[in-house]
Amino acid sequence: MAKIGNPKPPGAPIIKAFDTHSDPIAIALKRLHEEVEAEEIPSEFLNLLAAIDRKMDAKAKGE
Amino acid sequence: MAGEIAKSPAVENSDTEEFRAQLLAVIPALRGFARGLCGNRELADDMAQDAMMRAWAAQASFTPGTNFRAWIFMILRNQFYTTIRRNSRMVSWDPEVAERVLIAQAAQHDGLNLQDVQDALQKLPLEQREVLILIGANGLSYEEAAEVMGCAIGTIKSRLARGRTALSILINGTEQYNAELDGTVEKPVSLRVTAEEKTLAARNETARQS
Repeated sequence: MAKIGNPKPPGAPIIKAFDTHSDPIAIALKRLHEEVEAEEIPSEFLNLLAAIDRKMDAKAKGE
Repeated sequence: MAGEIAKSPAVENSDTEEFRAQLLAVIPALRGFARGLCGNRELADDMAQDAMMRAWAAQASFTPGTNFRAWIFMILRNQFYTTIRRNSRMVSWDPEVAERVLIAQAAQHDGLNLQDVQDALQKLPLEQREVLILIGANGLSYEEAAEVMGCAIGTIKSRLARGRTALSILINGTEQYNAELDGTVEKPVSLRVTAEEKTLAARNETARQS
């Protein structure tokens, strides 16, 4: 008769710890993320911040 | 807002400058989070800019000194879900096709290259993908991820474990994964793809073709 239930030995953690420093999946995910972070910020973002700056200036002048 | 203590213009201006500085500093991480969620550079950057504008518009609801990154990630995530829900009606859903794609992708690979990881990540259920991105890639704590995703820490832990398992199987195949478990037998992992996943895959495909 086939065994049913949790095949893990007694005392084993139900959820395997995810070590973000040594787990190869975590390391790969981190590297993927770092690649994006290392990209130059596209001009659209800087334009957006410039628009925010203009709003801040206008608000300051209004006060 | 009623009951809120009025700030002096100088304090308000200082808060605004601080807010602006935080907005600038979070751009790389925000782009990374968006890219991980949708897997498409242009769409991700649109999402990140949209989140920045929404954050700016809602800055009164942000409490200075609290976790800005978690707050703006939550804005981006909410908007992402709204967008895919809105567009889900436009895409036909074929679970059999999705299942075939997943089986094909589960073939073994010798190494762990980043493109494999990127491709596999996009095939995970969204709730598993986002928790892997938040904790594995962005280095958020379980508490911060729970704040962003609006769920309990226990839910975060189980989604993380399931996502890690599914990603490992997609990249390496089941045999290697089972070997990792040192002889224990693991139940098959459900690699279900939700309607939202299908919507996003279709959008990515359209973006690639255009």
